[in-house]
Amino acid sequence: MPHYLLVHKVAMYPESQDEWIDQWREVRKKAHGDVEWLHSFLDPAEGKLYCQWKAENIEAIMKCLPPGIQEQAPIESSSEIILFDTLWLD
Amino acid sequence: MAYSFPSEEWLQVLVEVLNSDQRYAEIAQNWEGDMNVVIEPEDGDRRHDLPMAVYLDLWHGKCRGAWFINLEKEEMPDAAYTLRARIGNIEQLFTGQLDPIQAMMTRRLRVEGNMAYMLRNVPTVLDFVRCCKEVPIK
Repeated sequence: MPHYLLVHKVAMYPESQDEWIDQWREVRKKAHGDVEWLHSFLDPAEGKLYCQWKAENIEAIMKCLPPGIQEQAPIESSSEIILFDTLWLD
Repeated sequence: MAYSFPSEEWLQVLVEVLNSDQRYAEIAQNWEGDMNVVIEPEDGDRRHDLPMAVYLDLWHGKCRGAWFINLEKEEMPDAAYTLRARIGNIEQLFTGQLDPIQAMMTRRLRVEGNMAYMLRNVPTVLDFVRCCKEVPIK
């Protein structure tokens, strides 16, 4: 299954711990079956969030994202990427 | 040397570390957020000294003051943040066995206060925990 990297520009951070966790859990709940949210990396200096997904296509990922995503953390770019797993060297 | 946790000796050394660590001074140079850390007992733990709190006045890369609060007798200061966790989780945090972000995402460390400011300043949070790890606990 293809891997994708979505780069979000974080415009608004959640105000509370509950809001943060609830938002992320909502996405995670939707990401099952043919869509997998693998990792997210925050660059706090740039305010960017890099999210790695595994999905059949980009549309499947978009269905997992909440309606307000374009206001809170608009997607700057999305790319289909190729995995190079360093564990394969072991 | 390892210090009992929680103890006055541990807190004194932590303050010394925070106020002498150049890296923390740089990373936290813009941080403005004092905090109460409430140390809770484990389930079934009958320790008479818990829960207790430690207040840390963290301001622009320095710790301007720190003291313990006996919650039976005193009220906590009105701080920007109140963090709450069981003593085992705090010990794991301060010994590097528990990742701070993981602790927050799993609510093993509960945060009351402006999460947006904390997330924008994640490097400061992580470096504060790094400084805590500099003070070995037993």
